[in-house]
Amino acid sequence: MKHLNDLIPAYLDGRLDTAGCAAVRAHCDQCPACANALAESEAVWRMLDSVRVPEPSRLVWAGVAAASSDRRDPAWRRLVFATVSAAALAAGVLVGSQQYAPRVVEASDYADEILSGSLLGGDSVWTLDSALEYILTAADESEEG
Amino acid sequence: MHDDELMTRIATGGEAAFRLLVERWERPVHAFLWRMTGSREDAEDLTQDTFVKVHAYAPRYRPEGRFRSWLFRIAGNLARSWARRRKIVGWIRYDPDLHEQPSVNPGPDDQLHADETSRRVQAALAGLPVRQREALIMRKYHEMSQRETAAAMATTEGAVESLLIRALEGLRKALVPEMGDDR
Repeated sequence: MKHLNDLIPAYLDGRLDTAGCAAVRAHCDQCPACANALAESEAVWRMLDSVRVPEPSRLVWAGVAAASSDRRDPAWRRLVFATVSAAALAAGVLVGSQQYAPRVVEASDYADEILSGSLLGGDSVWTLDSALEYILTAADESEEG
Repeated sequence: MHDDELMTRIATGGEAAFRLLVERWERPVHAFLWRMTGSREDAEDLTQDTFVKVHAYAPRYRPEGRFRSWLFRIAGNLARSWARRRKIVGWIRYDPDLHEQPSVNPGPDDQLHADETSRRVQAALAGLPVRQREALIMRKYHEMSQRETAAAMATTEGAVESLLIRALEGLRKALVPEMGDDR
C-alpha cells in the first residue's frame, strides 16, 4: 500500500479538493501508520498557531528613511561624487602600483591574526565579523543582481 | 493605492508613496523575519534592511502584480544571509536562553501553558533548515500560495512542496515526543 506522507501538507493547508480529502481519510481508515502520521501532523499544524509574534519595539519608517536618504540626493550630486571618487581611486591605483611591487602571500602568513580573530591590512582592521559581513553582502548583492 | 502603483512612484522619488508602502508591509515583514530569526532585534534590523533594499531596487521593479513575492524574496535573502552568518560564526545551535520570546505575563495556568507551547514550537522551527523554515512560514503564517512561495524563494512549486513535506516531518520529530496534552 502506498503511503500518503507527500499529501499531508496539501491536506493540512486546504489545497486538496473534497475528493482528495475523502481519499486521504479513506486511506487512513485502512492504514494505521498514515492515520498516526496524519494525527501527529494535524497536532503540529495546530501548535504552529501558538507562536505569537511580538510587536516591533520601534518604528521602521524612521530608520528606513534615514538609511535611504542618500538615495534621494539629486542625480547630479551622485554623478559628481562618483566621478570624483573614480578619479581619486584611479590616481591611487596608479601611484600605488608604481611604489609597491606585488607580493604573493599565503594564508599561513596570517595564521596568528586569523587565530586571534583580526586581520590587519594597512590602516584597516578587519575583524572576522566584518570580513564575513563584507563577503556575504557582496554575495547577496550579486545574487539579487 | 495598489502596491505596483506605489512602486512606480517610489522609483521616481515619491517619498510619500514609500512611506505608505513601508507602513502597509512593515508588520508582515517583521513577523516573517521574527519567525525566521527568533530575535526581536535582528528581525527589526532586517526589516529595516528589507525596505532600504526595496527603495534601492524600486527602479528595477517590474509592476506585474507580484509585489508580495518580490518583497518576501528580499526579506528571505536577508534572513538566509543572517542564518549563514550565524552558522559561520558558530551561533547556529539553538539556545532557548538566547532565543527571545514575547514577554510572559504571569497569569492563569492556561496562559503559561500557551507560552510554553509557543516557546517549544518556536524552538522546533528554529531547528529546521533555513529553506524548510522559510517555505513553511510563508505558507502557514502568510498564506502565500504555492506559486507565490516558489516565486519568493526563486524555486519551483514542486521544490516548495518537498520543503514543506520535510519541514513537517522535522517538526513532528521535534514536537511529537513533547506534545503531551496538546495532541
